[in-house]
Amino acid sequence: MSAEDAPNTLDFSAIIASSVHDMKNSIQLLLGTLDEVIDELPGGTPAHARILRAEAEGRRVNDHLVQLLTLYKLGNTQQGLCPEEHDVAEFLEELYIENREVLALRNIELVIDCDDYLQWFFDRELLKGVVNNLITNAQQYTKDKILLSAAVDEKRLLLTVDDNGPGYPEAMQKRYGATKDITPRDNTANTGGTGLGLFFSATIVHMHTNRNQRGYLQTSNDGIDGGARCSISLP
Amino acid sequence: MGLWTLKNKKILVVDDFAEMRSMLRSMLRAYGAEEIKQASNGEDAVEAIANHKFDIILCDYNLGEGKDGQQVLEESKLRGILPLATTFIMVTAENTSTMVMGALEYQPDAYLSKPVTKLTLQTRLKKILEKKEFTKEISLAIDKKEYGKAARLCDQEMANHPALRLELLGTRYNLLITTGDYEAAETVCKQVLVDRDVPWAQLGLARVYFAQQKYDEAKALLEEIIADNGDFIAAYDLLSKTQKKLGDPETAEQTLARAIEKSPKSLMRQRQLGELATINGNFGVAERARRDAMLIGKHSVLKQPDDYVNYSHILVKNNKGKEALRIAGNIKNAFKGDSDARLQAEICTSTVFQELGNDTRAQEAMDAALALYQSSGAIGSSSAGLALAKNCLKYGREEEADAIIKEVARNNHENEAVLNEINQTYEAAGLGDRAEEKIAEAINEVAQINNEGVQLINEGKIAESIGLFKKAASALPHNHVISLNTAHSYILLMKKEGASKKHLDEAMHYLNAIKDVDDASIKRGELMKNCREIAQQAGLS
Repeated sequence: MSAEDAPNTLDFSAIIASSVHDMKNSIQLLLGTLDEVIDELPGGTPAHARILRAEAEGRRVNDHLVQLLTLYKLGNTQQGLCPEEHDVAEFLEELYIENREVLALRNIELVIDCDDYLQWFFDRELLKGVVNNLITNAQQYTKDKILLSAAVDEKRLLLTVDDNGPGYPEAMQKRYGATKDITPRDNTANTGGTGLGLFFSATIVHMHTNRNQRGYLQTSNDGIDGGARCSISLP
Repeated sequence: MGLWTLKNKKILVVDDFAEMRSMLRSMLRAYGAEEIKQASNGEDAVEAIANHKFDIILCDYNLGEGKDGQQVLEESKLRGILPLATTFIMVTAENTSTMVMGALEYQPDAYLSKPVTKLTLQTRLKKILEKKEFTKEISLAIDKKEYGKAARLCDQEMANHPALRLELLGTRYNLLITTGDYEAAETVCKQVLVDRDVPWAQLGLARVYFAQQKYDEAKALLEEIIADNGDFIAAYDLLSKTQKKLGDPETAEQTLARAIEKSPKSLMRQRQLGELATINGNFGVAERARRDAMLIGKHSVLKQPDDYVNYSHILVKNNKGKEALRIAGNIKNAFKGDSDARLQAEICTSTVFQELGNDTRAQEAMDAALALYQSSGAIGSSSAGLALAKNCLKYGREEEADAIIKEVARNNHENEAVLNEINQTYEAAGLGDRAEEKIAEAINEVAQINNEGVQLINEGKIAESIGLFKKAASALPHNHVISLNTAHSYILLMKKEGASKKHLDEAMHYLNAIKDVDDASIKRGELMKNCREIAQQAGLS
């Protein structure tokens, strides 16, 4: 008897769905509790800083969970995304609020540049994971500043994450080039880490389509003072 | 925490998990909220919504057993207990985009992904409430059914807040559909679809085609939408309806089965599948769908005696007589104090016993049903009427059968499907000739009322024609032609004597009563257009 018609076959997707629900609830309680502790601790103390870091890690666990689940689902159902209209300024503000304090601990300033009430179409939760990836990446190389900006040009949304670090190494610039977009297959680069972040980011950005156009993920050294720039362009 | 505060906001928190509720409550309290109610399941949530007016509802999508968050939203909207001014936020652990596509018609004001932290709650809630404030006047106008005013406010706000353009166009579309202005609704959809395939506008356009009875266009568009996005559940539902209209119930059933696979928890969808599968003779599928419809409806106010009756009938067909009797017996308990349900229960029991060959018990139930019918004077649905008539014919109560069939025929004098069933009912009893006679009688009676009414109008006696049609409409509440004519008389009266709010409301009342009758959609659209024009000219919109 094959595994498929065995009577007690595990329904893996059902298990994933229900455990993700539980895990999300746990993360919710974890972060909520840390929130309460942060409120009780005086700011500027080492304990306060440690809890902030713990909270940031909690959010990263959540981001990774979302990424894994998304990729799993995409692999199984071949379903496309259906982006909804969102307020871009509000989206960036949310990213700002979540990252600002923990970046400040490392003396990195996070700055936002976006018109109020700018609207665009994207999958909010997934794109948040993508931009968080880019911020995590930028904080490793930047000197002391990260700029998050968004604008609409030629019927596309351009979202950029700039830093004022040394910029991408020449070899990487050659590989990806300033104009070529990064595809999910580019993840084998020796970038350190698992490569999941980049793979996920490129996949999600590419899946943002409208009519015959799709999203692009690009890198260049057009950041602050020749620093790195990673940009997402969505149709 | 700045000036932003939730003080004076009435808030409902719905989550099956006590710790989650208390966490959300403490977050809300941190922003000044004082009046926070909570519910731990969907049933309690709906009850709370029915009994209190909330400013904000934070509802988790996953609520364990029973209703989920989407069903709470749908039921509240369908029951009209959730004012548009209330902000409904769905909290979810899953990716929201599939959720959006699964429930396009009943969307919350926003989705909030878990984890919800204090700071994200503030940023999101602030923006959501701000937006809601911009559209508050529009919501109030719609809640008060002041559609003309709402439409003007939409245009105003669109100029003031370009960011709300798409949302306001969505509202505008809904208003146009409500007032039957299909051409303008079509224009709005096409305007939205220039730059992007926005789901509500795609579906909206298909809806317009369907209402205009352009079924081929609707079908082509819906097939294209589904090919692009397989999760678009509402598109399957409408495609299935369209395929049925085009005379292809087999494909209609397949389409609906695909939707059910993705989203099984819908009462309406299971009812539809049960009906299609029965037509197609797929009694296994029909039994499952009828059972699921009954189970889903159990804790919902949307349940109907028919859900039990249909399930019971299909059980009999599948040789599960004992179970069928049990289900028929459950009707009275499920609808305590509902006299129509008692009648349905007796009819159903009688039919099941008859099928099982127990003539004594079948006749007992039939007698009980006839007694109930005679005291109330209303038979309810045409299927219930025909079922009772069949039993009467079987047990030699021809006089009663004729009377019931006549009532059914008069209420459905233009409904081919029902008239066919009447034919079959008499034929099965060996009284084929009588069908024609009874149907002709019914059609004549209705035609006579219509002719008399029209003649009164021609003689300028419009008030008299209204009186005649209104009387006929209350005797034949399901006859959409009479409803249309009643509305028409009011319109003529206003054209003659000038518009008044009272007469406009009367006309709209009769037109709204038949908003789900597909066959009347075109004529209804024309009369609604008349009403709009009259209202506009008189400054009443």
